[in-house]
Amino acid sequence: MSARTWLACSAFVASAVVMGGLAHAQPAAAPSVTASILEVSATTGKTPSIDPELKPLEKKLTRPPFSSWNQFKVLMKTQQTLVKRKPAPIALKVGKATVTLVEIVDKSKCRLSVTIEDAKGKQIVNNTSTVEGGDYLVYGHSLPSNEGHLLALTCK
Amino acid sequence: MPARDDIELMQHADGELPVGQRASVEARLEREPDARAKVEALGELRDVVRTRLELAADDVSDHRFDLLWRTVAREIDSRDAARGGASSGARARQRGRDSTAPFDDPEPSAGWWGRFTGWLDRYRGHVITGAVSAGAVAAPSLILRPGAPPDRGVRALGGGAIDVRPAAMRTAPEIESLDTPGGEGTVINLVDEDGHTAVIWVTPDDTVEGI
Repeated sequence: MSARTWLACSAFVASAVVMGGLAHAQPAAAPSVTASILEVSATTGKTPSIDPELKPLEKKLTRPPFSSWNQFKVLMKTQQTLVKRKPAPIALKVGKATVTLVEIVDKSKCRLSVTIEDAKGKQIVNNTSTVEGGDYLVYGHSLPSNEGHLLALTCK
Repeated sequence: MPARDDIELMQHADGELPVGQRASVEARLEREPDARAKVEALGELRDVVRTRLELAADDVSDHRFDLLWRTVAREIDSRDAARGGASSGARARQRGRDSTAPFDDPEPSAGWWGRFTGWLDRYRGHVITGAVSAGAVAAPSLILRPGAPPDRGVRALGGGAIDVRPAAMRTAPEIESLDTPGGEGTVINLVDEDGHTAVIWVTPDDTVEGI
């Protein structure tokens, strides 16, 4: 191997090492999704009513276990950008919740971890689910006043 | 005075006047003091410009001239070498005749930096070739490096980060873990033409009448 060939090869190897190092040093942007979160109060009244913002869930709210109530009102609505593995705290009218994007699965599903605490700070639920973009997860429990308290969330 | 006459004066001052016109212009200079003054002014202007250029040339450092000469010498050396050294003896004789010629080997460069830059000058082409080749190899690794693309989908409907598939194509939500401290959890999957909804209902342990 001539000196010049050796030189060219050395430059090649050195540059490849440097560029490869730079490539791996460059941090990849953390994946994120947008989550829509609705806190809903469910009550029973003479006249059925469903908040217009609950339109995507309207049909489901007439089926069990929601059919115990006939009035659904949005208490709080928010959109959160969920960054992978970064818990997003959400202040609710009743209690609080934390939603974490665990990962994006098959480019169309969100794997989410959700914890909900009641107004006293007691944890009600701690759940990890994988849901398709556009589909809903609805967490619900009854309040002492016989009202229902729902937390609906979807991601896209 | 017509502009054409001035042009003739300028051409005369620059020595560019055709031979046939010189006599008439010179006769004019003898009889017209204004024309003489113009030609003298043009001469002074030319001197000023020339002086400025000479000063500008003086501003170029000797080191740069030295580098230029070395480059020329190297080029000649390499051509001679390509010709099999046939003329190297002649060049050596030429050097012997003129010991101050710029083709003499330069003095040892000042320090390692000078030697390094000289080395780069000589092998610049090889270094660039190696670096460009490495870039070509490294580019795919930049593009295809693991972990980046799958989670960063941007083809979603409505501008989201994931694909929102048509409701009919969606699969049921998967509940991987469910912890309901102090209560019982029930999972119900409601399906209609709008898609799936996973209902996670928590019934407290102390509730007499569950849902």
